[in-house]
Amino acid sequence: MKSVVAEIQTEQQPPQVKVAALVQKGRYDPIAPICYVSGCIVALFIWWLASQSAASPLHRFNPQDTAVALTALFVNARFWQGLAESMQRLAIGLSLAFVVGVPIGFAIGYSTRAGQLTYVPFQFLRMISPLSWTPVAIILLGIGSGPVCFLIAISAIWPIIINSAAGIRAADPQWLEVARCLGAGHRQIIRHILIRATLPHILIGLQLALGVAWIVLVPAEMLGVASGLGYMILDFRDVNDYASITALIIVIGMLGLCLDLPLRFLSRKIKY
Amino acid sequence: MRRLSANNIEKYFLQEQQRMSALGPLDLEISPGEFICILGESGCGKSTFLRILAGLEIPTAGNVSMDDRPITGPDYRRAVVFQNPALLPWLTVQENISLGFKIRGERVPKDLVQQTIQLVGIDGFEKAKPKTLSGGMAQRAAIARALVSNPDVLLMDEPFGALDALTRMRMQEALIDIWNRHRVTIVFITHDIDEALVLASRIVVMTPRPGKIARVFDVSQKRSRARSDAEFLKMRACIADELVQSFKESREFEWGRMA
Repeated sequence: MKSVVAEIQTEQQPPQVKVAALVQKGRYDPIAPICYVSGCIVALFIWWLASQSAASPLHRFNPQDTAVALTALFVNARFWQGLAESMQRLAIGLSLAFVVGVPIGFAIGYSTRAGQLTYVPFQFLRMISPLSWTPVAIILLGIGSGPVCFLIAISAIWPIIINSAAGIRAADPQWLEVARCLGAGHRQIIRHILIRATLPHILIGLQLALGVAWIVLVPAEMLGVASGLGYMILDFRDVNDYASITALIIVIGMLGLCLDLPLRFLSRKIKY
Repeated sequence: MRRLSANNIEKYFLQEQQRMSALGPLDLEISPGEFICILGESGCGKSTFLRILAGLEIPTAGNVSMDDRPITGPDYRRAVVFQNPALLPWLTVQENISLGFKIRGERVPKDLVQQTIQLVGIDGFEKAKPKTLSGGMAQRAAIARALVSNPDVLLMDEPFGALDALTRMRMQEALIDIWNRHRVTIVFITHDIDEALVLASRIVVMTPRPGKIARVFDVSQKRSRARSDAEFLKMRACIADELVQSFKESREFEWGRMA
């Protein structure tokens, strides 16, 4: 938006003309924010409408009670503690997936043989629902955060591997030749060309990984831990606190949205 | 300025289990400060020859050397300009031109980079991203990237092939200017007779399958490079005849084989 204003000010043309030109180029769309906001309002309205009748199955999950429960949640110390623990598990699981996944992806992208060797095992492992590892994880890592982090890592690693490999393959071979002609060896090629060339792909992988990890986090916390967002949902169910369950669901959705945004912004920024 | 020599080089490719000869046997001595154009139709192996000189490909037989030292791989003292600029899209023009120093871990000589940018005439675009440049501008940046390391040899593979006719002429003038000032050895691949005549001090005409030297024309005497010059037109006709002759022979050869 700032650049649009700057352009309007520097150009001598009337602003309308400039805005119209920008709209045509697809860079600035004044209707877009209105659409985003009205979409949210409509969704809220449908929820409200569907939950108003006492006969409605959604009656116990209506927005008014949820709003009250939400404010109560925000002053609840246990909620913040649980949230912090969930975030910590997410961070550990994702970091693990990243640290292990990127080098594997690079190897697969770099060497056809590595790709062939890993293809069947990886496709096989990828298709296993991460939650089916739960008993294995608990037996190996015991009760606590360990299994949750493991489940997040094993679900998040696939998009990271696949996209890192795709990034290496998408790097223009001529960039590598240019670098070699300028005196680059393998190390310099990796450092100056491949890492930067694959960065947009890695970020897309990370974005997808975050999405999967966030989805897996909540059910993983329903199994074998006594804290975190997933555990709290079960906890509220046990005391029939429906409004708080709905409030937690809202929080989980909002957080997922917020976590995605910085990555989305970053990957738009470094696209080439 | 170094002496390049190719001794009896050959290059084979495998095609459907068969050894296809793409190049040679071919001998060529390139003297320091020479501007040599290698002229031939598409697929005559001229690019392969250039890539061998660059060290990007190894000949199947024979050897290439620079100052009697065999060429075994790429070297920044033999700078290469490809048909497309191949600028790194995430770097600015200036950063692209300084890339060689960064790769070699040297300090970037800012003044020299700026001078080179001015030499190729893209000053004012230092901070631009390659995506925003026209084809001619991007190719100038690629030439600057090759020149800035002060190479002994400049290897150019149809560098103006993708440009429109007017931009190409402008770039040719700029290149002659650079050569006149720096006397760097240039090996320039082209399929354009006029381009070869305007630029070269020596023209090597190649014939295809396998790529061999058909004839060498010495143009160094004639420095008036006006396209209307009688000498220019005469030599142009000579080279054209040579090329036509060469592919007539190869056609007859193919027909003979078919019969």
